[in-house]
Amino acid sequence: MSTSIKIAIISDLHCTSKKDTATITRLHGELLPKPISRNPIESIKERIIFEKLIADYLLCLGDVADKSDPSGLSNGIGYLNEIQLQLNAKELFLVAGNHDIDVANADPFHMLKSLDLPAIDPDSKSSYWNDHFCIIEKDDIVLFLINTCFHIRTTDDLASSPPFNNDIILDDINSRLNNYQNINKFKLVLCHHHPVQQSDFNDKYTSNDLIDGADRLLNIVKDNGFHLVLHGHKHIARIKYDDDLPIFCSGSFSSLENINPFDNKNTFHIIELKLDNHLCKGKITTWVYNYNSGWNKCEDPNFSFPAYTGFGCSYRNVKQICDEIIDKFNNWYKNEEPNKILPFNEVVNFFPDIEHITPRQQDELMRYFRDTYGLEVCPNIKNGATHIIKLKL
Amino acid sequence: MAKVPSNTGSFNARYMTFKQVAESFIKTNDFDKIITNNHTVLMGSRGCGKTTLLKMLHPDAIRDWEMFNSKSLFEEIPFYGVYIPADKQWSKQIEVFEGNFKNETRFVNSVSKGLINLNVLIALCDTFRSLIQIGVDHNLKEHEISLATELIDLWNIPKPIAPDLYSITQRFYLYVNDLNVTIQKADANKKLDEFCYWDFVDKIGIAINAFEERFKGFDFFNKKPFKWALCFDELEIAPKWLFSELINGNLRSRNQKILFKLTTIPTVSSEKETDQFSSRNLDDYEIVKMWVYDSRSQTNWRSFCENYLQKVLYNKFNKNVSPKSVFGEHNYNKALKASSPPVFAKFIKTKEDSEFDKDCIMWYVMKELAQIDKSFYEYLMRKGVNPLDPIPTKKGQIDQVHRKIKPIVLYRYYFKKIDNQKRTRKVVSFNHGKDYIYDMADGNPRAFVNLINSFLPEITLNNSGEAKMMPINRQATIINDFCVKYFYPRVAYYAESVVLYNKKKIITLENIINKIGEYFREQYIGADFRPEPYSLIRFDNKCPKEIEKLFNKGLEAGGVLIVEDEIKGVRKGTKIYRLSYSLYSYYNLPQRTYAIKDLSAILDTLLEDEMTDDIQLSLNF
Repeated sequence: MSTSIKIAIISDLHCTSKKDTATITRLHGELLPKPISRNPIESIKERIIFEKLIADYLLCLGDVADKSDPSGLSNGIGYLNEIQLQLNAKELFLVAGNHDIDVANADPFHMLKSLDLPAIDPDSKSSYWNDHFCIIEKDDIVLFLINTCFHIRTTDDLASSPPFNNDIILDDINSRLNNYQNINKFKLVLCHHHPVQQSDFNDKYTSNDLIDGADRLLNIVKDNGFHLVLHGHKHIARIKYDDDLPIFCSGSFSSLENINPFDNKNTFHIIELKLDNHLCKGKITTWVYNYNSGWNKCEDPNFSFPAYTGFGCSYRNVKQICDEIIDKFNNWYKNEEPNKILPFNEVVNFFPDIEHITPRQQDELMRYFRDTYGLEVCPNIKNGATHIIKLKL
Repeated sequence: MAKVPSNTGSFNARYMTFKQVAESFIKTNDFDKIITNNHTVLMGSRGCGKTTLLKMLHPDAIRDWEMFNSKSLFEEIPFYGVYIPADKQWSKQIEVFEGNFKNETRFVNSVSKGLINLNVLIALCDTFRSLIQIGVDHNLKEHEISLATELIDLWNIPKPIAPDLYSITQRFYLYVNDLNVTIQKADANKKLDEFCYWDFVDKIGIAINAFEERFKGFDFFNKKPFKWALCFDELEIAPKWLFSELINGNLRSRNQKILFKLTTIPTVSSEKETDQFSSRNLDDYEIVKMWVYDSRSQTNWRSFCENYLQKVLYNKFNKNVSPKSVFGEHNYNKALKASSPPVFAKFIKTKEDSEFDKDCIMWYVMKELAQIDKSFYEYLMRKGVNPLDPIPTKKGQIDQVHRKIKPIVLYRYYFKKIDNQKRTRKVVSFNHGKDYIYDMADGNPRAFVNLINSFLPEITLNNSGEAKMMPINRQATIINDFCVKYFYPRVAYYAESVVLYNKKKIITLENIINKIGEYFREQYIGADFRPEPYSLIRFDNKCPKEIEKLFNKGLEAGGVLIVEDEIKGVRKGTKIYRLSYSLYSYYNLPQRTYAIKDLSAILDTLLEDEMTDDIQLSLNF
């Protein structure tokens, strides 16, 4: 069993086949293959080749289609397959999003069902559509896929909370997850809707479609030793903890909603997971899309989600990390030579967990170094630090 | 053979990294011209390659080019390039700012000066960073910190700040943000920081001296004297005072270690005093014209195209494939045969030197045309050529008459119809051949890449692995489609190309270009045969200011180009223009130059056709 895997995350593609939709999604009906930079799919494939990116699994967190456009869904699945191939990923796993649901049809899930989703094997498929979840176990990974769209039957349901505050469902989930409680594999939760509050950029606190009963659901997940929750829907990349459980909200790969007005960006993520005696840590690398230059790692340290970040650091208090680093490299710190830098890779060798701190912790670390020790992490820990340098005072 | 990138998507150098520019760069004569030890102005329309050339002067681009091509380039260039992009966003903001604060000139100038100063120093830091990485072989970071520490003091940057080039650059970006906020808030009372009052030449001067002092001991920097080229891109969108300082002012002579490399777009001006590029102003600059303006530049351009296309074909097939084997040479006779095989099949073998002989192809065409075109019949009679048997009979006639009028005759015949009505043809077989295709892009690499991309999917090899010659009609179809979808919209729908004429009528660049194109087309296939049709334009002083503005937009968009071949009867120095060859197939014009017409005469119906004040309503039942 491998102790490290890589997962690629693509979410909220919102593909359409319609004309005049270029203002709501980049994967619209008039998309051309060239110029490459202006086609997010061709561009990400180019980036994958250029950086020699690989992933063990490709995960899609829903909303492949936009407004249940059938051709959009079909095109989107095609794009995901192309990217999976390019990444050399073993499998693609996908959960339903509210935009993939066709409420006009007697079976709102008919489109996804017809495409053998979320997984190929019949048992998983049956469980996902009938029980509203399924559990898929592979050699190195256990995936708990939740259908947070099962309740959507009418247009009004599209914006309502997925109802998981149901003893029967939760009991069923708990008893089945129990079977994996002590398994030493990577254990991930995939769902479309958010299980914790995720405010929008305009500070409107929207809880209409937060999973109802999410706290109970998360407790079950934690009790059964799951390592990471991944969801989409909000189009804003974020990571936060619920107790010790990291919850990652993926950005949108290609939708322009919740992007343009707020200077947000479309994102693509690869997470490198490490498992050490049931403890899981992750390093997240993120690429952002630019219409003229394609996919690149974001160089703006002020963007809401960094190019490099992580989760699972054993220290929650970053000040303690900083103090220990200074303690270890005290000779360098006290050294009279002002031009001598401390290479960051030496810091990482001493304290590998520094790569597993969240964006909030990264900000705190930089601030503490600066204010307390007069040190700057350069260029920026979020863009890939190369050294620590003493400030000129 | 060096490869061009496999995904030859259309590119805009503005958004490309230095590495991407270097990977796709092909050295041309224009590059040799800008790497001289002179101040240089690169002039050309959008997409002609100015930004690519300037970016290639950056050390990162040179280093990557050297790696990619396994050749040396650094030593050929007698300076270190500092690439300074123009920022369209803040140039727009400053324009609005200037409008809002007409009476606060000093304040406005200080703000815009601050932005320029910061952008220049950010660019200089980037070049320093690059040179340290390339030229310093040990303790890179310590050397950089050493330099940065000195720059912090020399430039008076407030502390605390980390002593490295990244932190200095980030600080300058913060200042740029602050100035942008000042502009947006339109706050003329705000006290400005001291960098708004700097002179960037002075600041660069002290910085490059510090760099030289620190790094002169390294082998890499000993290979040439320390000289720096400030490469200002897209000056046409930079603040006017900067343009004026660079062209008219004394910036050039202040520091002998600094060269200026500028890019801009050609313009026409009805007033000589405001013509920024009068010879008086440009004595110190070498002008590099990046379009096809004479026969020599045409030769150079064709050579570039040939070279590029060979590389693209090699990339596709992994073997050498000649462009000629794919497209052939331009040949009117073959085009005629392709357009009407039943009619011209009998002219199986027609050599160029006997095409006017009896029963040969041009003899046939001339005879046929004379029968349906009375004006052509009468022309032949005047020239002593028998319309019913138009063979050359006198010495010199074949050159002075037959060959001279051949393209006109062919076009007239091609579009003929009985009784002077023109038959429309969607696919004009004359539009084919490698040189024809090269000339269509008219010196614009981006346009050429896009054009070739449209052909690429249909270029194939036969079973023996040899290139298949693309049929003439297929070439003509692709060219026609490309003109309609790319070349024409690129010019006709160019941004901000609308004017209000005489406060009544809206005129667009599209109107102007269409008028010119249609006017010239009528010259070839109009009612009367003309042996010297008009095909060149003189911008005369009867053209109103609004038309001047649109004409400049046409120059900027690359729809109109300056011609510099010596033209008979035209005083030297008079600017003559033509439509870009990229539009010739759209208007069905042969790629030839003949007589000159004043623009005001070409546009007279457009300018006379004014809307009246009273709107007449008519009701039709």
